[in-house]
Amino acid sequence: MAFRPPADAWSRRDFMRNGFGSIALLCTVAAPDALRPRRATVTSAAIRSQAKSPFAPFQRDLPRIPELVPVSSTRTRDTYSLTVREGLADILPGFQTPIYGYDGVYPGPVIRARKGREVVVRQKNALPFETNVHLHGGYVPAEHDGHPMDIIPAGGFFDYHYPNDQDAATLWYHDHAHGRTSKTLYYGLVSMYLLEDELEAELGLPQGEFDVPIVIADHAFNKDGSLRYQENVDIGFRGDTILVNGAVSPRMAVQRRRYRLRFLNASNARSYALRLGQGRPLLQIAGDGGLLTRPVPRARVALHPAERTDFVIDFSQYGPGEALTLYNEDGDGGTVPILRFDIQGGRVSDDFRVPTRLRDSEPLPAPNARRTWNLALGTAAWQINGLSFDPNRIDVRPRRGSTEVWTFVNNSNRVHPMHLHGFLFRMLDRSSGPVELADKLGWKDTVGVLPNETVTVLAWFAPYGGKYVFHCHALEHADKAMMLQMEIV
Amino acid sequence: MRVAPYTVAALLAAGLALPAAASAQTTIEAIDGVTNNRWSAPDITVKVGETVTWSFAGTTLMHNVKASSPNWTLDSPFAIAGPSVTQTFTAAGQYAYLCQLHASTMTGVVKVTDDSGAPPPPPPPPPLSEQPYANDAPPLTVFERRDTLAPKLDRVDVTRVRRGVRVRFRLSEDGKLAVRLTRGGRTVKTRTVEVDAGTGALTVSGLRAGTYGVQVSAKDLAGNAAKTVVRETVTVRR
Repeated sequence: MAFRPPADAWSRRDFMRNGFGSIALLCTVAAPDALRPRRATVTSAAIRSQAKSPFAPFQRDLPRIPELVPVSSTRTRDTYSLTVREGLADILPGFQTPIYGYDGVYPGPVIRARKGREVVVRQKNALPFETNVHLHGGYVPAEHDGHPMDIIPAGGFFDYHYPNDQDAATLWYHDHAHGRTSKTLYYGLVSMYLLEDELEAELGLPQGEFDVPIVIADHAFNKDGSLRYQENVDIGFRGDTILVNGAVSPRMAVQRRRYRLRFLNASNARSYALRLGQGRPLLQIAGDGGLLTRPVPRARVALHPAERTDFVIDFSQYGPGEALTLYNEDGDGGTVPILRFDIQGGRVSDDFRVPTRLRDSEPLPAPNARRTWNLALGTAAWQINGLSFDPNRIDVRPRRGSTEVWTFVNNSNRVHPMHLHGFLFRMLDRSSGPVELADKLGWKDTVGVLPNETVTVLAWFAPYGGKYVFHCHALEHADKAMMLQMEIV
Repeated sequence: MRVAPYTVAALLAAGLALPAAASAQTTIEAIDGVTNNRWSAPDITVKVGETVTWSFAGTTLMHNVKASSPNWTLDSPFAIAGPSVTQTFTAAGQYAYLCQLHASTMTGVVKVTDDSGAPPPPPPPPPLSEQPYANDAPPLTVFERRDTLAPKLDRVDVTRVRRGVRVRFRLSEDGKLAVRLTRGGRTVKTRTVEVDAGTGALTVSGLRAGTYGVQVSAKDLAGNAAKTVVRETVTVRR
């Protein structure tokens, strides 16, 4: 079958055109149907797929995301090579779904990095439009961070240097070209970057096949099996189906032992409330910025767009043939089931206990400034303090190495997951109630500011200086300019 | 009448002919509601050549109007009480529109009839790539599946060996076998081992000479206890 790119492949990038006045998108939507190759409809796979709903949950095994192998390694550096291109994914049985992907797969291949070892990723852009790559949650020099205006032209490439001078954490990388992320991430430019260090190895946390990265995102489909995207600038995109590592609500065969599961919410704008069947405990050991100071058992975990949480789940107390479902308590219909764990037979194969202390929290300098950011639907689009993103304007200049108290005031009825590029923060206060213990005990880089809520964080502007952005990670909001620029001086 | 500044490209994309002189005009007003923002006349019928105006005067919320069917283009900026938007329809058909910020309630269709007043032809069905394939999976009801079936423990045979006790048994599924030795009412030793389904044997050694009560019980890996609990007495010799 010929490849048909997702319906909104733009041929060129223009900041103004990507705003509200865009007619480029409308023209592609109105393109004559004859231009689009259509797949043959009667195949055995198509008949098979009609026999049973392709959306029935727990029909497929959880796909393991492939790990990327370095093209070269020296004593201090690993070099990887990736091509950002179009691809086909097997998501619904009997269909092939056109996607954008790192090396053409969704989710993109995992990069496993070690603290202190530099990683260089050569990103080749084989898409017909510009892209760039943001390492979300990483301490990265400004020129390698994936600022929305630093782009890789179609056909070009860029070598991203990641120093990995930070503690172990579950990071991810994704497209960040301005005005387009809601489509490019939806169509698959999403991938995990797992940073490991010696402390984690000393703690004896589950490794290898028992350390499982899991990417959750909501999607919708057209009748030809292609991904269906409908822009909603107000609440953001909401799909009716949850894809976990690219499979519709899959199942996972687990041994009777402990697993480390690293969850990433890569949805455009959907927040989840994760819960195990019967409220069994999810032992959270890490958040956005790495290990917590101690593990926290939780019954219900809110996971906003771009947030990560790592859990250790103990399956040794279950018998073979038993099953435990992870589901989304805030979901509806097809967005409730996420993942079912099917416990396999065999003896309990580990005697590992999660340590009661994971790491010490580092002391921070006293705050240098206090700033308030009002989040609201402004006179033209989503705005922060009445301002929309302007790449030629610097909105705030924190001092390098200092901390600042930032207060996000949400004056709207929508959740705004606020994200700082290149820096981490600690949660101080929430107007809606106490801050979750797990959020207090670790670093974060994204915080979901609930409707009409005020959230206060302590941001630490170290170690790098330069131009970065901070923005709402509901992608439709960010694309419609809910983003400001900061320069660390 | 204000003539909208259309480019030739936009007109071609919309499948419209060059602007014709408007003979009649209809106005659709945006209305703010406490629970439902709406258009004053969402579905209207006009004749070819007539002009429709979308008016935002008096609104206090942000709105816009945007074409939502592929047979035309219209896209006004988001604004509070923004300028009116005017469109002249030159071809019969059905033209759907909405406010992007209130797409759940602010939608409508302009039906354009030809000069005879006959109803416009229904729009052609969109291609499969634009038709939704909705997730129709039934709601999830089971969030945990536990094994509640108790295992069966039988063929239990307790014999004495030198300074110890040997227990042979059969268990119907993988599980844990527990052997408890008592002497004079006091527990002196317990052994619990994970065993596979089928027959097996377990030897508890290191016992002093004497008479022991032996209790053999079993659970499966999910923790369900076998109904049978075997109690026997064995005299161990040196």
